[in-house]
Amino acid sequence: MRQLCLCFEFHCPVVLRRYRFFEINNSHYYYDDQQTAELTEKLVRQKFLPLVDLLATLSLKYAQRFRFGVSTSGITLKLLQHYQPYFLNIWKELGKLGGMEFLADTFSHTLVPFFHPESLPQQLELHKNLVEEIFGEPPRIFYQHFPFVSGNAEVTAKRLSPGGIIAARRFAGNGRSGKERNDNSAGLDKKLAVVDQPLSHKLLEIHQKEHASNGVVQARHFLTCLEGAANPAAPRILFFNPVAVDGAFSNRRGVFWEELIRSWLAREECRLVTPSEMFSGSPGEEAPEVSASSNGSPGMKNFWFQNHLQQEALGELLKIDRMMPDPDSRMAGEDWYFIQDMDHLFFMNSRFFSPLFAGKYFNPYNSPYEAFINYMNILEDYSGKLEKGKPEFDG
Amino acid sequence: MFGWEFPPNISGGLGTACQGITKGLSSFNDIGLTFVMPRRYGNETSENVRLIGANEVEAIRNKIRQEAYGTPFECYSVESAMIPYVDPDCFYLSGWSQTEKEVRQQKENAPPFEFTGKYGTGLMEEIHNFSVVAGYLAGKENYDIIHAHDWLTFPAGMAAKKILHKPLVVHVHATDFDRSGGKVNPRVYHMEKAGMDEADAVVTVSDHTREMVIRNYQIDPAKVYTVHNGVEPVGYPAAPSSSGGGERIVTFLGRITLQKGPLYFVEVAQKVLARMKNVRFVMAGSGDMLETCVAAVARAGIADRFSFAGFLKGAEVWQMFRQSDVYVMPSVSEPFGISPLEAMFCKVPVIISKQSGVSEVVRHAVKVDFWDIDAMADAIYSIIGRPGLKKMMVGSGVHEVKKINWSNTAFKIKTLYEKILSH
Repeated sequence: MRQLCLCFEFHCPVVLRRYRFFEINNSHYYYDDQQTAELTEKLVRQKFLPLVDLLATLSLKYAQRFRFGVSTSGITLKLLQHYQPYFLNIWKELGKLGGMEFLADTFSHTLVPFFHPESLPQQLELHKNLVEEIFGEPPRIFYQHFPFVSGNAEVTAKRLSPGGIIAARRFAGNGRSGKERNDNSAGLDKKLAVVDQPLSHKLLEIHQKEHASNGVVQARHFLTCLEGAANPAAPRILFFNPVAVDGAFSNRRGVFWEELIRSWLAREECRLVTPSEMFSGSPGEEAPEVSASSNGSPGMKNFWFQNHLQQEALGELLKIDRMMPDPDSRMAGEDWYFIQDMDHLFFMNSRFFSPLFAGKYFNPYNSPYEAFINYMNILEDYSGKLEKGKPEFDG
Repeated sequence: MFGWEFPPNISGGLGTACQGITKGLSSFNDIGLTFVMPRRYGNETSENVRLIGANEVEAIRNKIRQEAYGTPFECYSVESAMIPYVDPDCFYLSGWSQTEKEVRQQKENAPPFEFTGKYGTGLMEEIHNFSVVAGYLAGKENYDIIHAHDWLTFPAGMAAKKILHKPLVVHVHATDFDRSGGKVNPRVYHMEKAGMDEADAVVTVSDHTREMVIRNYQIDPAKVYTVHNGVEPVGYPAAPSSSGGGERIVTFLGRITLQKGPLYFVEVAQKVLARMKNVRFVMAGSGDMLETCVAAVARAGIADRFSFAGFLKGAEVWQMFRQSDVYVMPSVSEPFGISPLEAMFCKVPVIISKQSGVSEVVRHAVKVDFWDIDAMADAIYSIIGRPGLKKMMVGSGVHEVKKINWSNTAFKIKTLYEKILSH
């Protein structure tokens, strides 16, 4: 049986307000609420709503045979709860159709727990609670979008997510090579799968070139690519992030998905699975494929902590995290969950000036320097606030 | 090619730009270049470029005297902001405070005309006489292209075109709108517009200036080309700023005139010094707003943290950059602005106004609106206090500025010449 696990990412960023240095120690409010509201509304209108509509259509059409995973942070869910509650209701309705499974993730869209594993349990717990509260089902499979810098973090994640881990890439120290993996059929490594990045990128490319040809042709071409990939019989995990696609998620893009799903499910040996189902294969079934070409993808380091700006900002984030004496203090300062968002590091990217800079969709800055200055002012204020021992609950 | 000044005898960016362009053009084997300026001092150096000072053209002095002032252009003494590039010598010594009557009396008693190449009270007269020299030289030799830098030499370019019947390129390094803060002198405007109207092509140093030329002078956009300036690599290695763990230096370097926004720099200093004590602000330059700035510093109570370095030339400029931790250019209107590029060469992070031409070609700088003192102060605070920012700006800035050179500028000008000649 050939398994395809499709996962869809939903992400809304928090927009920070222009925070000047002379406000440090004077003002502790960091957010541009209007921009955040507008951006959330735009994302819902242009991306999420059409996508959820498509997923609902496919769920109804193929009943329980259409199965997929969803990845989102707790912060995104919080923003949707606050600014677009009606959309969350629609999403919940989709969940009731069955076949949708949330991936476990950090509550914040953050890198910090990958450096400081002690904050990981709390991040996972908060995320799990929120997903369960809204959708009624706790997530079981952890989506690791960043390499663990500390070995303890990896162990922690495996302990906290016994169902398995889906890694965005084959991170160093996160498992063995593809060949070794296929030979391995037991132990914790059996519970680690890696996203097929080349094919996921292909999905993105297809959506970027919306007008190049029609969706049916593109879907057939994509299936050919699936067939042509190394070890085509192995389970395959594909991620699709509609936010990374320029423009709205239109009906024309829906045609592609409808044809892809129709063609895949029309084959007797093929099925769609949720993340949990992929890991619960019968004994002797092949472990999820580690894409041989995944190393060709840009390194994670290149996006979030490649340059001096990012390294200094990350250093400050970790310093603040170390200042948190216990989980209760983390709970006490909800700001911390918002301001550690890794988008803020992304805006300091060395590729900022490249026309292909993906972050432009959210990006409120004119240069990585502006992004750094603003973010560091906020971190300096927050750090000062912690030093004074007065974290405030701003939620 | 006609220009008003040439290094080392300069009072602003015009001479530096002329040197960069002539040097770049002279590297092409198929270009023979003659650069004519009002006065040659003998200390100018330029390889493969024939330099002529109008003061050396003895043969026509009598002609100038005979013509007196019966010319296509009226001659006026200049007393106000119509003067484009004010060097300290001129500014303080050549009679800005004189009344018109005094100037007239001085003129009557003056010895036979001499070219100075400066911007004093006889400027209009000198501009006219320079155009007579241009016509004389044009009659002596043949040239394929006439290229005139800024309004001071536009009459010269037009005179040469009249004799040679060859294409005229006028190069706009600044307009009177930039210099006067909007209070344009009608006579200067008239000369600028006449030159641009007569030209076969108008070169502007930035898109910012191009838009101004099209909008304010009603010049056909089809003949207006932007060619950004470059920067000459520093001839010796620039050491990182000297301050280390001690006092940090924030520098303003330029003419202290309305155009350069010096009062914004004082306001920024006040904001930063309210939070940081180990910082010194240095204003280097001279100009008609110097006294105003001194008074503003005193009023703000920051005189102990604010220095006026006076007008700097040559090596003094590089020395100043090397001692700086941050360079700020808060210009209200800056057609281009070469000095931030020089600062970047010296590994100094720069903060530049968005209303500058240089902001069109530089990425690795903090760009702010000239009036946004909060943003400027914020950037200074961060550059001084957060090492990652300075490291990144310096590293990327040096890499970037090496690509912004006069060779590229010259190549674009040469391409333009070829285009004009092919028509």
